[in-house]
Amino acid sequence: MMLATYTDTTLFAPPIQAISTVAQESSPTEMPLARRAFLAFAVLSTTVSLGIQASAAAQPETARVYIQPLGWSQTLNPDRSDLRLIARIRELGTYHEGWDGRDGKAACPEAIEEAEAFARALSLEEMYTPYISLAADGEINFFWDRDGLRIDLGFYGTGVYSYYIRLGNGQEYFGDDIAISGDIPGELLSALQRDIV
Amino acid sequence: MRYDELCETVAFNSHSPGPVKPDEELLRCGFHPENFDSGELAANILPIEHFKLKEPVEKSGCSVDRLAYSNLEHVQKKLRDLAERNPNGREKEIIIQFSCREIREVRNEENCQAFKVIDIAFEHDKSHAAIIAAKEYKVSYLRKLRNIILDIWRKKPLKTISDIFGTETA
Repeated sequence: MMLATYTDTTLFAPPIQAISTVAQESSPTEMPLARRAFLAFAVLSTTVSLGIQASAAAQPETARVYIQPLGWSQTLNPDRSDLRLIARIRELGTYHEGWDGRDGKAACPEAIEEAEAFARALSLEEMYTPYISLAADGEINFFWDRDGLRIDLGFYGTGVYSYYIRLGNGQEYFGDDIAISGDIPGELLSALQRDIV
Repeated sequence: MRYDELCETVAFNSHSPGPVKPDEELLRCGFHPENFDSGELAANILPIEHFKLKEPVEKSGCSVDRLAYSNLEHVQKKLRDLAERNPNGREKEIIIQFSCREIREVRNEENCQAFKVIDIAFEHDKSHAAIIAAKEYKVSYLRKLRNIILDIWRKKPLKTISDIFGTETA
């Protein structure tokens, strides 16, 4: 027998009025703390349980151990940038075709997944946080604009992404057809480091 | 249609008031908070794919209104219809006013005109025009070009219908 920690992530659907309220927020950074806390709690609530693992054979592969959070201390930190970004991406994923009143495309599920994967790959504690938006062509756009730095990067659900970087000194970098599954290009990582730009 | 056939000097169809002249004032409508990032216009007001030439050409381009052929009722109705589609993201409408010349003066890496502004009039909307890439570009380069337009627009005062037409909105 061995002692193991099981971590599982469960998606809880917030009440519809809560979604509506959250959707009114223009930017995660503008949300009051309580609202951000609720958003993280509602969209991504993780329960962590401590258990005894008898053996691999005794533990079914599909087993799920859910324990409802008893207190705030058992949920993820709502101030975590990655959770706020993922909540924002999922919010954009609720937009329907024609959302802009013209021929606005909804973000396809693949674009949502790719944007989430990219957000998770960023070490946000060391990097600038992007503004994330949905464009009428279905693009999930990540946009950084601060201190002369401009990065425009986006996902269409094609398995690849593209970007344009303009540093404060005017130097530019271009990236096309970058595989989601690959490493983030060094020039992009360098540009995003807080202590470099 | 090919990119080299995009023409800025001919009327698009019989509904058209004529080709867009360089000194014409154009309007682009947007909304707060949908098109804003920390108080500044966001890149999503200029969708990349809209710059690409498509068939039919009426489906192409970043839509703008020609001020000389527009009017209060037309813009007001358009904004109201658009706002109803996404009320949470469209609490307040904004209008960017700029000249056609400013867009046509944007240069690409070959020091040629990067965008064309063409008349694409509809029977129900004679003031409609569109900003279209002047040639085929890589997506990353289109990102650079849209940021140039974004920077031009960010320097403009954000206007309301009242500012544009000098009339109180209904």
